[in-house]
Amino acid sequence: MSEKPYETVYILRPDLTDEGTKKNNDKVSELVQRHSGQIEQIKDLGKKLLAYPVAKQTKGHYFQVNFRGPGKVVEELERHLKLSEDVIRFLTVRPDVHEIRPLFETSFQEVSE
Amino acid sequence: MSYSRTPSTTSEFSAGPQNRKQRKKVCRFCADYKFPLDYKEPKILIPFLTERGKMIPRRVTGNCAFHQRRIQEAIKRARILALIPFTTIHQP
Repeated sequence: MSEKPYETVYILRPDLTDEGTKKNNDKVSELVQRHSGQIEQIKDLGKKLLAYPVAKQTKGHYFQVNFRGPGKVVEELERHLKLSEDVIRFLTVRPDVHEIRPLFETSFQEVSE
Repeated sequence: MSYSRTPSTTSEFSAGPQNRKQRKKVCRFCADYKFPLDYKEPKILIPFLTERGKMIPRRVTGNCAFHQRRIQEAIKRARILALIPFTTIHQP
């Protein structure tokens, strides 16, 4: 099965307790693994001020999940995030393949030699 | 006889890039290829926005087409995540 990398950022309500936050993150990792995906990392990006109010909140607790898996995982994960009351916003992307720019690197080296 | 205005040929000439003392802008992402470009970092994207939160065209910033496309995508993603505003003026 083709396993593609995905990156999901989701924003939780800021007034959640540590327990509630942990519960949400456990649910996410459980969900990914249940649909034959692999969690690479769950990163806490911290509480941030929102640029505009979302779900009547002015702050949000940002989390980043990197995982690999079939497209079905994304479908199920997004369905869960959509239904969850604690998640106020989420976004799933394919990580940028151009992040490492080997083309530029090699051309620079050739010139210097 | 009013020759206060300069002839049109001269004014066209003076409007040329030679007389404007304009330095050629370089795409900062090409100049330093390790410069990070990430939709999760609003600090990087804010210089490419106007005060009202609109994207600055590449003829102003001097970005290359390749990187302007990346910036464009990153800005759109950051807006969805409420990291940068869609607009600073809100409709009542």
